[in-house]
Amino acid sequence: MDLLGNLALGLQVAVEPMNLLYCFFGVLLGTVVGVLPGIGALAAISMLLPLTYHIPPTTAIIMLAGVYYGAQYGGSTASILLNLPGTPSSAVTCLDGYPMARKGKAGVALFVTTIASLLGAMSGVVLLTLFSPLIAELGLKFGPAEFCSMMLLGLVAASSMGMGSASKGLCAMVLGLLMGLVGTDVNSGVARFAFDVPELTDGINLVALAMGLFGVAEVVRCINSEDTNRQPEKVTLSSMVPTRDEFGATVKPMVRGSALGSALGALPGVGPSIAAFMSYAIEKRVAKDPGRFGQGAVEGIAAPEAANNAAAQTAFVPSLSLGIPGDAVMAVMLGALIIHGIQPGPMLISEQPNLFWGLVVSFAIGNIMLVILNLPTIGLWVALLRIPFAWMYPAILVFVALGVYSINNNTFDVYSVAALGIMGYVLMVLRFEAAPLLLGYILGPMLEEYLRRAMLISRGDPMIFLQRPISATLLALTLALLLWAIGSTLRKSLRAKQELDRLNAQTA
Amino acid sequence: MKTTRDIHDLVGGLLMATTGLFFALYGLNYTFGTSDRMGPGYFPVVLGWTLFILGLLVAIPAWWRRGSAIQLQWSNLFWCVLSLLVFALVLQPAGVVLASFVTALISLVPSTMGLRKRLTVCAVITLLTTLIFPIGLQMQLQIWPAFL
Repeated sequence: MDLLGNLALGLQVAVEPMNLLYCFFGVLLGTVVGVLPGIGALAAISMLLPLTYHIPPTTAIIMLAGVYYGAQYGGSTASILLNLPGTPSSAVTCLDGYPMARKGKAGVALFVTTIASLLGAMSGVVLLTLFSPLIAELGLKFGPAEFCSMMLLGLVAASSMGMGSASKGLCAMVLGLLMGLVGTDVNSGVARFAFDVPELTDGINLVALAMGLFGVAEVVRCINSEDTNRQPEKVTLSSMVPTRDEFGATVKPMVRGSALGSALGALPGVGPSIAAFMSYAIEKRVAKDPGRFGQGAVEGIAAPEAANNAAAQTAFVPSLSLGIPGDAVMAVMLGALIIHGIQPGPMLISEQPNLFWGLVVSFAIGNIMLVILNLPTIGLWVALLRIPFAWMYPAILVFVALGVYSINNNTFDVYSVAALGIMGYVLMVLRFEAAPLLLGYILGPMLEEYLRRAMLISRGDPMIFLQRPISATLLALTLALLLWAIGSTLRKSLRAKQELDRLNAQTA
Repeated sequence: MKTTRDIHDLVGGLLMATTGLFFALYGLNYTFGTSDRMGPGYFPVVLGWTLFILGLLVAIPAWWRRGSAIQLQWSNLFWCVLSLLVFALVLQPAGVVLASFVTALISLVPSTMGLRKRLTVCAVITLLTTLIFPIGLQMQLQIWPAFL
């Protein structure tokens, strides 16, 4: 069978010693950044980007992906022990994980999240294996109009379904699109928004942008924040074994979480966080006694952990099969491929079977490594949480500066990181999300290119987007999302205004 | 501290709207083109106006909303950014060792650590950086100052 042949090829690539080594390094580092609150997978991946210039693209992407899904495992550790999510998607795990820890069940909670993570990730890998080639085949029928609409859907979904307000997410996304346009226009050769700075004719450096937004800004926020300076309890290995009842109670939630997460993760713009939140909501609804949730219900950690890990795997579906990243991490990963001269898109699977199938098999291997890394060595991770942030952040800054410098051996990029770090911090303080910005930055040039081509084909008639059925469907979905987002924003501000009027009336 | 207006969104929205306006107006310097043959100015101008409108949509409702005051950690921001700038300035003449040490030292200004611990942390970071980047990864970097 074709599938078996492909998997065999993938296995061959994935077990090459160099790939195994980098996969291990990736998941190890992913666990570290997941455990430590303050630095996320995105910052870690962008810090590693300069390093990947020196290794082959398949190895590079295996390592970067390892950081991404490895962080999903580590993220639950700080959630359970300190009530602090290490990654945004493990925020849900705080709800029941921390109460469990306070009841002395931290070990059990950590065990359950690890097993749930493995199950979720594995089902995500299966879905990725089965559906990516099919979607890529469909993608071959896509013209510029379909790609345009698809990107628009992804951008709107990622910015309006985030954690903050939809209009602010959209603002950040459009700003990102604009920042992506800085540099030489491919069609006319005009240097746009370069302001006669020669370095800017190549555009804003991706690594500098990602590190500024997610590295420097986070460091500034975390230096003396209480979050990053708390101390966890000790956890012993023997305390991790759940009772038979506890384990039995988690099986069904894990299966439901895996299924939901796998399906949601494959949609553009729906990342692990949304999958985790929705799966928690569903568990609460189907539970016999919803009152236990928030008090340390083991289902409340099993299902979301399975869901976010499943989604972290299936997030690769649109990215690898269509070349359209669903979230900022995927966008950086695609950026890494582009730097290596590999064009992500529907042709990727057939043109680079080694890369695609090697990556898929490495996911399976990496997830098993993660279980081994997470269970017996839990004491090590707990110890890691005791390291004061002040010992680490100067190192982060030095690594950021040196890493970004080494891409082009150019100090201009270090100055850019400083400037973009200020921008990132200001946006963070004003509560704008940086992820849609980065996504917009990556997709901006592609979106413009496809828009130009589509309009050229239709001789300037925008109806082309509505005449083609796939494109029209995607646009309809985008419009529905936008209306929903506007609706919820309006409702919110209306409620706030009534509240304010009521308060004014009281004081008057 | 509560304020009567949502300052975060008010300031943020206006900043976004201004940025959008800037891109829209500056984009007029480039050829706009027509819908079927878009010039380099087409997309930026359209996006600039979009950002302008979105920014206003964020700012205007914030006028009637209560919010909290903006808190900036000025000193953290200042020292972190300064440490990066010093790194960029010092790296080429002085090499990785000195640049890392000075950068780490400057970035530690806002922390409450004692002097001896501070110097130890900087030394460890410098050692790690030198071992990882120029030695381990064989990056072309000057380790010691050029004048030595």
